[in-house]
Amino acid sequence: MDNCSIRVKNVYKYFEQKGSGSGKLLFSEKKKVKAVDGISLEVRPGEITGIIGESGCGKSTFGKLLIKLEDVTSGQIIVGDREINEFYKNDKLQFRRNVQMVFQNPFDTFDPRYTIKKILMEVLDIHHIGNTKEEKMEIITKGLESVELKPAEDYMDRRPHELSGGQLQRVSILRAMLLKPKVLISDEPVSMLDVSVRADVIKMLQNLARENGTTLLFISHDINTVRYISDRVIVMYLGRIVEEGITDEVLHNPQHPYTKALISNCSSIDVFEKKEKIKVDGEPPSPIDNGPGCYFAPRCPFAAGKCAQTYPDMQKISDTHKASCHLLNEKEDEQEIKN
Amino acid sequence: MLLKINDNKQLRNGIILLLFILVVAVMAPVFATHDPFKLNDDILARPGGTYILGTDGLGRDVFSEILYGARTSILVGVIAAVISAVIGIIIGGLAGYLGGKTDMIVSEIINIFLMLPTFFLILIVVALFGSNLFNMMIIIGLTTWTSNAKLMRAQALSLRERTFIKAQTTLGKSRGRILIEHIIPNGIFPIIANTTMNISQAILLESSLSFLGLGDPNLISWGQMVFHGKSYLANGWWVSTFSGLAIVITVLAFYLIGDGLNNTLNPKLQAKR
Repeated sequence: MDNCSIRVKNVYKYFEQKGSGSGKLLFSEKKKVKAVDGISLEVRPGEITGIIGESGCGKSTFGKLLIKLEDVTSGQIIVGDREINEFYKNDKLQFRRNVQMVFQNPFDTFDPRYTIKKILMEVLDIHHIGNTKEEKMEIITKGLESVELKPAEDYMDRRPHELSGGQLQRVSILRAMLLKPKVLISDEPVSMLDVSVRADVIKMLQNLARENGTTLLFISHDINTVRYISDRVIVMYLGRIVEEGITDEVLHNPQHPYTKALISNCSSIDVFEKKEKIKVDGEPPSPIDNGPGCYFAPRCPFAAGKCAQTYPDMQKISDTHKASCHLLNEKEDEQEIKN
Repeated sequence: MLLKINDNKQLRNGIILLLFILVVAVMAPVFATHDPFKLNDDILARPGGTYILGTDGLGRDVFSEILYGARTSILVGVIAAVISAVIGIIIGGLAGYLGGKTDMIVSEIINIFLMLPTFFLILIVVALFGSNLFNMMIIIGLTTWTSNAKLMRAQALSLRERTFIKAQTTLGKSRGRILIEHIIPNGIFPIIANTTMNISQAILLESSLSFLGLGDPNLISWGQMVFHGKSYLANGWWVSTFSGLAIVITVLAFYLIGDGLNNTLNPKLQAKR
């Protein structure tokens, strides 16, 4: 599989809510939580894509769908040129070698009873990488040194609780990269780390992805890290994509009010930078009954009458930038509101 | 490993105590002052003198009986508890990890077993198939696994959601291997503690059966001694007291080991100390 693009077509993931059935025992219709509510996107091979959105918007669920920790309710995910359900059925190990994941919580990513050496050795054993024990040891030693855990011997016999969060996350990234995956999904890999080590870990992730030509999907709620690492950005709100495009374009010229609000609330070191924060009131509505209109309309400071009635389609702003908002057509109105 | 054992007082004391009991059980013929089956002429002799712990209502030497009784009690307790632990871990682990329909069916089976009056079931089986030691161990093991299964199921249910189990799935490990290599070893600690309790329970259960005349008549057991001594409590307190103490010490040894193991095997507790 040379082509390691990801194509996602109309993917839905609903979770049935327990015990929400109304009065009747039988035939009661269970309410559904729409975690991922119709996502279509295309990621080119070797590209680093950032997915941002607030907690509960379905970005982690979307990541789990891609690695088959969850099954899609409907829709199609194609990795390379193979549909993932079929791919997985045909050759589980090969699928695992192609798609890997780095998890959010490095303190819970490893079996606490295992040493670092055993953790890494196991991965090589499962996938039959390296023939002799010496060969495997060499791969592990080189790997540990490549993720700046030097000297490797010092770390081999330690257990996970004897390492810091940053070190553990490096091991976690190494474990995924040992399989040389074509696609790597990283679900908020630095959100639980100290700020001081975040930059290093992100840089490492970026370098490894570039060196191996890995397609990296970087899920985060932190715009700054996404801006730093990714080529393209996808903004999600309540299970749907509201804006996507090249990182610079989206972050410097945001079109959707939600993206604007996110960016305006982003912290900056420059104290003199003049910025008006867009305030968004209230909690995000529950993803159970969203009504027909734009999901963001109830909280949107610019919402017009149309917004509550139909969900806006994706519109092209440029070849590399799309957003779904009714107000895009009414640029003049928007200008007025701004002034 | 030896250093670790030394670090933990509970575990160390428990193991010393158990070793002591094991030595007593194995070396019983060496230490015994009398033949435990022999009916001596002195009935209900006070402790001291020729009979270190006195004699019982039939003139048997209590000290020698206790030494030989250790064999029966430990054998029954350990083997029955191990049978119950193995069954419980496998069934509970499968139910909790696989979830869904497997879990539903297994949970119902556990409920059925919980509803069964265990003691009477044991009575019936012993009455039907004869009261030898082997039957007793098997039947105690087969009827007490439910508590282990429930514990293991709860452990597996919570472990299943942990990141490192998900990470193993994404790395391509099969479900069977994850169950055996990660779920069971990480969830086994409460079952170790429970198994020590089960050992004591099995010892007591065997004692109860002996009292009802369903114990193996060819063996000496502490339970039989306690109940034999019960009728002589007023004028021969030593018969029940010393055999009862033997039960207490044995149960204590297993409890200390169980709790100590729990602390030592769990790396998180280890780091805190």
